[in-house]
Amino acid sequence: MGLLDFFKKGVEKPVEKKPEVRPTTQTRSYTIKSGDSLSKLAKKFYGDASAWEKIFKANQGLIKDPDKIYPGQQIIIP
Amino acid sequence: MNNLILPFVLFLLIVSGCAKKSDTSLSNEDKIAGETEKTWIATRETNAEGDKDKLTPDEKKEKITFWRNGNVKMGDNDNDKTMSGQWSYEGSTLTMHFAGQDVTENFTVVELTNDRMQLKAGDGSELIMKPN
Repeated sequence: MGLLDFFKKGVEKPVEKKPEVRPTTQTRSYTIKSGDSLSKLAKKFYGDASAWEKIFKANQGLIKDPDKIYPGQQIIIP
Repeated sequence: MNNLILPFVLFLLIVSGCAKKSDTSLSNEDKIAGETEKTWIATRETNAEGDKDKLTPDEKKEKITFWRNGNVKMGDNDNDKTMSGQWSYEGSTLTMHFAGQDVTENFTVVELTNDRMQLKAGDGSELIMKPN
């Protein structure tokens, strides 16, 4: 039989699958409305207007100038 | 004079016994995989009925290497039938999980020393291995 064959004859048990780990931080999308600014959104979502940079950094591919956001733009609120 | 020789011989036996690293000071993982890795070969095999199963010359060349980091690899001399995966030891069970398989293979460890490992498979057959 040999060593190689022997090690295929153990008591077989299904491999325990590790539970899927979901990211703890939630992100959401938001569509810019007229009159919005990043600091207003930071105030709205975080309660802190000075946290606007967090939103800006999460949307760097989309927002090039933090002072220029446009109604209808869909951004990520991290 | 004879009265001195016997205690002296006893003293030497005790000292040499203490100097030798005993199996009991080694963990089971030490015995299986050494400090970093350890390769074992089959020396004896019995089938489910307890009868000796003679190993062919090719089967005698098959070996299995256990690494301390949990990796395991086994194969024949030409590496034609290589299998690798992960091993673990808990209680008296050696668990092997070979890559690509959705089941683990579990073996009862009948005897484990630094230079002998006797395993029992699910069907009752047994394998005795020694370090290569």
